Amino acid sequence: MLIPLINCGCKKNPFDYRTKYLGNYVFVVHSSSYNPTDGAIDTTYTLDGKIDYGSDKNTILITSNGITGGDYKIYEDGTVETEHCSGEFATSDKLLYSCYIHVSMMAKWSWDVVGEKK
Amino acid sequence: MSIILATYVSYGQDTIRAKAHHSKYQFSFLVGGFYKSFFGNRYIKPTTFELGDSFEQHQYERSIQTPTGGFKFGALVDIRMAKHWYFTTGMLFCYRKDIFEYNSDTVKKYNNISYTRNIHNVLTYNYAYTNLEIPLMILLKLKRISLYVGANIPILSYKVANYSYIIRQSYYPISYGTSEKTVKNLEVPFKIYPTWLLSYSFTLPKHTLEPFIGMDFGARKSFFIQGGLIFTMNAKQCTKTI
Repeated sequence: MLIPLINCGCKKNPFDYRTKYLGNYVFVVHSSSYNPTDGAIDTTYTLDGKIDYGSDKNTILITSNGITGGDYKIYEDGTVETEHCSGEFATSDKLLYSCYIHVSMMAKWSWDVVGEKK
Repeated sequence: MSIILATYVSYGQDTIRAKAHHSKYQFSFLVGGFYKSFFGNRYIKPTTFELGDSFEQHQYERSIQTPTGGFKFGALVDIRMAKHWYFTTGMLFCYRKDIFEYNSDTVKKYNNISYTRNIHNVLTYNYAYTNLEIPLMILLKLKRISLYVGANIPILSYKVANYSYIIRQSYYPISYGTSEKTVKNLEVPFKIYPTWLLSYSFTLPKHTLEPFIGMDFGARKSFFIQGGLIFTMNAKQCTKTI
């Protein structure tokens, strides 16, 4: 009887500050990009995704439509960041972050994401 | 209350205390309050940032720690090892607080102020911990005086963290505002509080009452001056009651 309990305990540690943020999410992405060929492009789309423990004890892994978005560093107050993105968990069920990439001198790409737990 | 207590104490019978001394196990309840203070300066000096250092290693630098209050209560068991020597353990609920406050100019100077809440922009960290702690102490009993020396080890902590932030409200003209957020977590803390207690026992008709003073030692030069009561019952009487 104890074995399944122990197994579940290892998977989701209730004493880890990241645990309350994990789960399946719906991400609404507003993307803005600019390049000399196409000009400005604004789109909004929705993705199904998942947030899981990252590879380090202070990271989470964001996956959307089966594609991993990589590890995000997460601080104790729910602030998240990567090289190009920063944001926060406004609550344990809602993630807000923005990313910005300067692709070249003439091309840039930014996107804002709102993720809500299903 | 103190008059009633004094009257009750005046009925003291040393026989109860004598019985308690000869029991292998002695159970007691502890209730007390404490005041958190600091050795020396409350300012946390910055240390040199080495490449590869984590944010957490320097998180509270340049902040000022604030004195706080707290309380504890719980059950203790004294296990007799030798004539005057006991090993004391049990379970305590402790409410402790840690507050780190920054000067707002310091935050503006050393951090990037963003529009979003961000841990780098924190103006005040206000932590409240409700801990389940296990005391592990050696107890020396000499007549009516008892000296406990050991440590309290938190095994589970419910942490309520309130962060207040500085955020930039506009670039031009530049203006700053504040924001705040509360995050709650259940944690297994990796902490240890070395402690000592000194008590003097008053023998009552059925129990022993021990007012105590003492000190817990925390991280970052902090200590907790504490005082309260240990209410002891004889093991045989405990069995009878049940």
